[in-house]
Amino acid sequence: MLQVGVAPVRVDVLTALDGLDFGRAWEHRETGEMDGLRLNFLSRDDFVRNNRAVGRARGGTRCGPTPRDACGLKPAAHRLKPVPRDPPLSPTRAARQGAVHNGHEGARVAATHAATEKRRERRASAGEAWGVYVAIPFCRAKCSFCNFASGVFPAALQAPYLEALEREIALTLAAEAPAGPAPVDSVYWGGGTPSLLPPERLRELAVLLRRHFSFAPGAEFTCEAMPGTVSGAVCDALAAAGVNRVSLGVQTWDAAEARQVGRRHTPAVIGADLARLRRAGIRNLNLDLIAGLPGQTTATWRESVERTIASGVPHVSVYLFELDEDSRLGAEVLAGGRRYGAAAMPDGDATADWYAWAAERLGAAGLRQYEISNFARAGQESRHNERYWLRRPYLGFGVEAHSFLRQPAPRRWGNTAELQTYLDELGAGRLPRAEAGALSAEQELEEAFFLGLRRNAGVGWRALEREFGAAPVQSKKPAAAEMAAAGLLRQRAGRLVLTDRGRLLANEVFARFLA
Amino acid sequence: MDQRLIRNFSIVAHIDHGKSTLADRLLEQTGALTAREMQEQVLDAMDLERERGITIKAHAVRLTYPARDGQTYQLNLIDTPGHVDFSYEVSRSLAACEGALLVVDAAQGVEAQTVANSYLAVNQGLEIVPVINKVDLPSADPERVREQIESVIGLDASNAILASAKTGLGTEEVLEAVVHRIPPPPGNADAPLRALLFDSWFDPYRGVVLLVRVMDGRLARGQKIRLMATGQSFQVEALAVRTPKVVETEALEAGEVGLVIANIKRVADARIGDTVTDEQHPANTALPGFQEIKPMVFAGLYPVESDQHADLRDALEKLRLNDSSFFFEPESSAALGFGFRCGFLGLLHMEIVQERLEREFSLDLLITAPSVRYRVTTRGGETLEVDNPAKLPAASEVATVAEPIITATIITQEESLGAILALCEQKRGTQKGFEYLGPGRVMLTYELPLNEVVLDFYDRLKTASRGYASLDYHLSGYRDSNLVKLDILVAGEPVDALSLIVHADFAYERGRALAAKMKELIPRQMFEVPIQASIGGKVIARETVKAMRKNVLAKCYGGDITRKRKLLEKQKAGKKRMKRVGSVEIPQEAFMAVLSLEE
Repeated sequence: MLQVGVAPVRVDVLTALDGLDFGRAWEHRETGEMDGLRLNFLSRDDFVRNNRAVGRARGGTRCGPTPRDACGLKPAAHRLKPVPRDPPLSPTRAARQGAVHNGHEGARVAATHAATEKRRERRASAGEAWGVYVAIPFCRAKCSFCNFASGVFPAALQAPYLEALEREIALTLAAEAPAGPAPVDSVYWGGGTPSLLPPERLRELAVLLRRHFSFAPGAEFTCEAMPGTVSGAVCDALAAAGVNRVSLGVQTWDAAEARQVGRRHTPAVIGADLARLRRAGIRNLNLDLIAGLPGQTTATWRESVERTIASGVPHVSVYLFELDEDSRLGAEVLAGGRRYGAAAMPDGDATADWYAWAAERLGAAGLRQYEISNFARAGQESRHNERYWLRRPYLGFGVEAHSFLRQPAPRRWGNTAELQTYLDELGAGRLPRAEAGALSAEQELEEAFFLGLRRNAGVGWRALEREFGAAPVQSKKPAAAEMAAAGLLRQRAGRLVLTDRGRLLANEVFARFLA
Repeated sequence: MDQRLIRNFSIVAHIDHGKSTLADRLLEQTGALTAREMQEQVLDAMDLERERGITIKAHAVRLTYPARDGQTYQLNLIDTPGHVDFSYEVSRSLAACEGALLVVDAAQGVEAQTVANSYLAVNQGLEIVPVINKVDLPSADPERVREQIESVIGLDASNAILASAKTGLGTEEVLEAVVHRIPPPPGNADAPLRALLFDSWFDPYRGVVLLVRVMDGRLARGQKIRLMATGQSFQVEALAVRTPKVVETEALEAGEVGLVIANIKRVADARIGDTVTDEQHPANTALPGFQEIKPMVFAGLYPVESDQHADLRDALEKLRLNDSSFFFEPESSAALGFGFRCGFLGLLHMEIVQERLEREFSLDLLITAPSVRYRVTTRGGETLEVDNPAKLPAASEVATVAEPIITATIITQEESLGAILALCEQKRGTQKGFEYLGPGRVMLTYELPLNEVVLDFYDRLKTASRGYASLDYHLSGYRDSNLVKLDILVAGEPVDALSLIVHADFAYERGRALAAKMKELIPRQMFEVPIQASIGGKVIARETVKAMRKNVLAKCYGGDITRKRKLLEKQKAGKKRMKRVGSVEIPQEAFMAVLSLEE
């Protein structure tokens, strides 16, 4: 699919149609004449067939590839019919062409494109590169430990969701970056389960991102995936889309533990996924592990860590199960129930021991800890995750996605966690924000501590003073001294870093830096 | 108003037997309020009163009732407080009446407060009209209740009125009985003024408002009056009656009840039970029965945040304007800093004061476990009153410690008898009476140390009897006991606010239970916290709160930094609600831990 213009004023050019093949459509074509030109149109029957295939009840009144383009276009524009001008492309070819604008769009498009590029260049010289996060809330099943805005939504919502994403991007850039976007040096597709999107949707998503942003050379492009969803077709689609890093949500290598939380994978499935990804050229791989799942024991935890090391991935994330009302398992544990294995939760102190053990074991295997939850071989730290701790700018799109920009004034905002609200708001042309606010200098300084200290490199006093001035930074010294005396922080070469024990009690430390 | 056409009466009942609902019906029936104006429990004006369904302050409302005999009567309904903590106020309210309606629930029958309040009314020489209420309930058994009233209280109940305040059944009979069975006020209209002050409160616009019953003489606007107990004089600025709307009037005649506004600044100057007389022509003798109100239960009140100390003092002073029955004085605690030792009439009173402070003044309070006032004789022969366990002199200096003793009346179902007897024994009670009130119901009389009662006696009585037992008590004296001070040490330091005075026989058991409870209540800190119980410097129990192992958000939330900040702020706020003693954060409820010990 090719697109011209920016929503809400946009024309989509379809290079393939659901429910039709080119040969058949050519046979049934209807011919007409406009301004002395002979033109071929889809037959009415084929048009209706296509509409049915993409889930639209009635054909003929509106057009375009998606049902949610209720924009302010004139009726005449709505009556334009899609005209296939090329034989159907192979999926991969279509994606590549989508990415590079293959010249069919004409001079007007080229002019628009040049203007966009110019804006991008201006922007690039003006500030730091951005990160872009895209939330894909679709899941096959909701895992019992999950407290994100994700769920089992109908596949029919995927197209409207992508449409909404694009609209959100356009509206956001218009509101937040009138001078145009900065170049993007990290992209992260999170979830939900992005790997559940069909290959053509993955391609579409990549295309729409590249339509609005220019990717810096060597940009990190991560996609989250669930074990068992990474088919050969998905791997190819990801690679074709430009994804160069995949984070596999393994959580546990123990099949019984996985089943308990709602997963179906076995070690063999994980191994096959990794092999397929590597064959597709994606070698920058991360595995997620969670300590504290129901039924987990010291032995199964160590087994998961060892298998992770043996898999040879260059990056590992170790999370601790978070007990809160927002996940089914958490709510059950808090209510004292037995469902989801809530009666078999490992002891909190044991979980802390497991985390400490994993940190040491991973370090010994060359996966050095660089952040509370993250371990990597030298040089393979996740650039996108580092943005969060280093307070570098990023834009998040999709349900419950969050954004942070520093220019012209530091501010954060976050989207609604409800998929329907998200679609409705954007359908009505509004940004789907649930919260937004400017950051005061004090808040920024607090963040510098409670985010910066998450990294093993910690925070440097001199850099802080350069950014915030001497007095405000000095005001945090008593808290630092108190925590150092308690053995949770350490001063090292002008930097403040968490000790091993401090990492496990990080919230105690961070809270002290809040006003 | 012709004195013969006035009736002053009160309603006495056990809690929840329908007193306030009956009052509502009487108001409605006499047209004092239209149905549209009716709001449940009209007379309970404070939010707290409505929420808890209890009456804290007395009220009086004037009803106009055209009786069947063709005469129109002025009925003054005096609604009294309904809880054991306020029995002195109840007795003064009753002293303003010639008669009382004794309301008894037709299903529940006579309860402890029915007995206690009837005796109060009988002792005031009141004519009592029994009303058996809630006869519409399926479980109502009016005949059994009639027998109980006769056998337990000794009243003739043959002409008891069967009523349902809920449906309005019997309301007119009640009004007729008030007119024909309750005598008119005696009183000499020509004698010097004597009016009984039976309640007072602070109105922010008008100063102190007195609620009085004119016994003799006449009270008029502009009159110079004197309060006989305090000797202070004031000028009457306004007189009013409630119907229940406040209606100003020129005078209150002998036998009448009304409100007096006389530019009085402090409730403490308008003591309940005092006599109002004329400044120029004073009465020779005051009305009988005036007493200084003495608090029975004591506790330390501390602001959770020490910078709220001044706010707390202001709030206590304001509250005292409206409630002269509680007392406070500054106190300081090594653990809690500056606060106040407060005295209350009882546990309910304490709860009410605490709740009003938190609700009306938005204060975050920390309250220590309730205590009583001990009389300590030192070896030097000196006598001290100790209402704060931390102030008990060292054992070597103490000769004797006497503790307040109450006489408690408990009425219970026979099934719960075993559990209640065991509870009373455990609480060091001495049985003084055991009486069957007809089949299946027993009235027990016990002497019990008040300090055992203020801890958790009432809750445990309710548990032992599945909510059926009722309790009433009055102070009956002091008795020497073998009492010791139990100290709690947190991280090696004694926390004075956690000290308790307990009987030596229970000291070990209590100490162990308390240390265990503290371990449950004190959250894990960044270091190990030992908790010890000690008596006279000897440690008798030890528990350990293990050091916290983890408190970290080890989870990827994408860029949701706001969520992380909120979590940290929540944790920080949680700590603020705790009291930092030394280096340990102790939550508020730990200071009341002794109340939730399982024994």
